[in-house]
Amino acid sequence: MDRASAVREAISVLPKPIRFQLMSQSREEQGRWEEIRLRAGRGLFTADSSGRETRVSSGPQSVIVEEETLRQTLELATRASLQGLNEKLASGFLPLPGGHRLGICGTAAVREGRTISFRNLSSLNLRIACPVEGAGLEVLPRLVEAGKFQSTLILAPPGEGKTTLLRDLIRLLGREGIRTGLVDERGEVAALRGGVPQLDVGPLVDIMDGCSKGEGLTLLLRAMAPQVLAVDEITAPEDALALTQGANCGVHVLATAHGGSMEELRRRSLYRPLLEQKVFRRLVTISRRDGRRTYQVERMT
Amino acid sequence: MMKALGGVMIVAVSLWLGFKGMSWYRRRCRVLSELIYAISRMEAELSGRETETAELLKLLGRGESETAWLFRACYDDMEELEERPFREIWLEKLNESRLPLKGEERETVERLGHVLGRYDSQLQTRLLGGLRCELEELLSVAREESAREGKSALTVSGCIGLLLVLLLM
Repeated sequence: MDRASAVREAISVLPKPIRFQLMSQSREEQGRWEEIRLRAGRGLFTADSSGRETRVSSGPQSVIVEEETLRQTLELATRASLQGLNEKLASGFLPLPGGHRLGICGTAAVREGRTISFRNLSSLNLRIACPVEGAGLEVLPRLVEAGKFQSTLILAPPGEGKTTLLRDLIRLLGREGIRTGLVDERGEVAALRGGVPQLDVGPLVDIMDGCSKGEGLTLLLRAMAPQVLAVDEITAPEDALALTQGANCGVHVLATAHGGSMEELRRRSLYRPLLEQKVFRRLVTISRRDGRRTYQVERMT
Repeated sequence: MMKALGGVMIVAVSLWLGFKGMSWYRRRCRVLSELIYAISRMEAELSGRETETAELLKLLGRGESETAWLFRACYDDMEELEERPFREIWLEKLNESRLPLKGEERETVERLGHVLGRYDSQLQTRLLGGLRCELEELLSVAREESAREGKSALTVSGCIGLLLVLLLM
């Protein structure tokens, strides 16, 4: 699916007048959009890959974006069902069909320290998902030794494509007949909706979402007997502990972490037990050269 | 002979009108009971499995009762969410349903459209519980009215019929 088609799919959650305004732009223009932003009292904007924002048609025909417009968008995106979305609301975005996401900003209604709803909405950000398939093709052969997948940590700074690579590796592992258990705490890897992944993660994946990584990993280990355990972004000691337990049970692990280098990782106490117990055998780092992503694979000793 | 037949007919018609008045009150009580039952099912569904609004409406739209029609009609119009908010769909269908509700009862049912799907399940369940309690109170008032007004509607219409017969004879 090209980006313009992804845009057309994503904007189906927007109220009709806004959708018409966006559809009236050229296909070439639509192909540049990565985000569509609606700001109450300010208007409709699109953002390209560089983050530069452009106001959509500021002439007399332009649509007025009000708080009610944002409410209607939220109602449309959730099919008038905010129930069951507390976890997603707390994380600040809602997963949409096709893997797109709707980021929410406004006056939060908080209960017991958690965001449960929004009293007022100030802006929405529709982030268009356009999966890049094939990112893992050049990496996967280097993660296999003696015909077996080796536990791998993907390391890169934010926005470098860790989740994209993770998703593609899971998909490719499935193609090789390897069963993966994925804990998708924030719904960014598979984007489950109604039990069905909105992004292609292959057929052999069992997914837990809406729970913490530690809890999800334990449940998957107990219930689904995965051959590989996958998790996006290790952020808490419980996550690290559950991954260590998984590795001790003979399951291979595949995880991502924020960071620039191995040295940086060694300095962080969260990763120390994982590194000391040699949970990972391979390290993949991602960097950009001439605007293209390159992947370096190292053995971890 | 003709006069007697006419008299019987007048009395029969006025009694029929009286029964119709009485059945309106009974129908109103039945509809209120159905709505209370529907709201308790919503509460159970929301607290048990955070059921989506569309599925809730589909679930409650099964059957042939008058309230089932209302839920079914709202479910069928969920596609119109891109044009108007759910509360407007609810209000429109409530008006179309012609449920036998009086002012305060109608207002309470209207508010259901402002609650469904707009909050997290915990808050929605609490608000629905509030609406159910209000409807339960209104139902007990409606039952009293039904017993009182229903009988008097029958008596008054019967008396009017007899009076007409006497006057005409």
